[in-house]
Amino acid sequence: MSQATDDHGHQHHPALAHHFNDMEQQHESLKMGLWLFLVTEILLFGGLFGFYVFFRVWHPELFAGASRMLNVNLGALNTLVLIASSVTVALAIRCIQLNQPKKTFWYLIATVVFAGVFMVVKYFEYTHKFHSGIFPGENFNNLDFALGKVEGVVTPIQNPHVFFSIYFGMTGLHGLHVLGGMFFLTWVAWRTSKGAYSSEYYSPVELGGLYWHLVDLIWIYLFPLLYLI
Amino acid sequence: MSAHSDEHPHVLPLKVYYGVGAILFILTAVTVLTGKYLHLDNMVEEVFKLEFVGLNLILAMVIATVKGALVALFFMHLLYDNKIYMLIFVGGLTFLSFFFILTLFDTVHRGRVYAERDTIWTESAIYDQLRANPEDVLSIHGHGDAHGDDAHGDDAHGSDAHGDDAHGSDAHGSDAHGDDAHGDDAHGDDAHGEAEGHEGHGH
Repeated sequence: MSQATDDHGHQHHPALAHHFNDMEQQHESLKMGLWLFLVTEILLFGGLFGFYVFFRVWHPELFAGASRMLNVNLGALNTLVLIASSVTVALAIRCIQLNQPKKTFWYLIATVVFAGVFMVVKYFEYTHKFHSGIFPGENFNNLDFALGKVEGVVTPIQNPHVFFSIYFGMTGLHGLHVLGGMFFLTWVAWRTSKGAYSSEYYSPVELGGLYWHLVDLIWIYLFPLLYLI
Repeated sequence: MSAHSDEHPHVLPLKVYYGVGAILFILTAVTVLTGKYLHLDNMVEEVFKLEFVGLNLILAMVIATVKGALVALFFMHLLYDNKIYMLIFVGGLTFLSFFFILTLFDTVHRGRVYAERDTIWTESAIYDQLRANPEDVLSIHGHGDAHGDDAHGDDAHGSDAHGDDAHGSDAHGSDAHGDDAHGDDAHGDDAHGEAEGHEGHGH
């Protein structure tokens, strides 16, 4: 296919790898690879969602009771923070498509800052739980559950540690993904500030953005499933 | 617009991003408020005299799916990009749903299978002879099916062993799926130890 790029193509873009015909093809291929990676991520989290679904089918009352220990307001705050970060990273991609790397840089920084806020909130949630003896699995030693002393819980909850194994497992893995995304987007922002990307070549910006949206997407399901039972 | 923008034709107008972001914020507020203050099951029962379980969960999942679809279609550009990406994404979700649905067939109905097998164990005369020799029962049992092994594995996690009463408790033990479940079926939080004798009531 003859592309507009071929006409003035006496010189390749330095980012064009030799096994691609043109930047367009390279970009589309990278994106397809990233989508395949995102599907493997969905399957990875899918296993944990299965863990959740099967245990909730067996013990709905356990989930309803134990989730009262989660702070809905903090969970909702984190949902809003992640959505805001999704908006900023989408705008970062738009700006680099329009050849505005400076704006892209700042939108990426904003995304990383939102991600940082998410992690700080998560840190407070986790430490609060650890202080009251809420750990995953066999380390769980909060007696209030067993005695039915948790606010909003009518009857004693048996085996709340099952719920918290799921809670820590899923939010922990998700948190690691947030951290990974922060590192990657910081690197992309740094490269953007060095002038590495333009409207001709911005694949890393878009790939990082797609990954970030998936992290947001997973949280969109985690929040109601864990906090709003 | 840059001179090259025609190579990247899908630069969406700003209002799409702001609009989708605003809808996502609103839907988050809606799902929090309905999750906290709206008890759909009770309402439907009062108004329509119909008994439903889990309407709130369905509502929350519908809202989450609308939010997820907005993120995927607009922020991730699935609506505008080459449809191969849509195929990969939806294909992955489809196979994930196979995994869930097929596994749920097993996990939801497994109790019935074990209830039946329990009857066979008690009513079939041949097992009376086998019971006289627990070693044989265990070996037959071991070959019988994979689920039996499940139950044994659960027991190994920390509750006491089932060895003394392999047939009966075993059947229900696998129904309840693990020592966590045993505790539930029985009476207390510290029921792990005692639960073994009560598992039969778990159905």
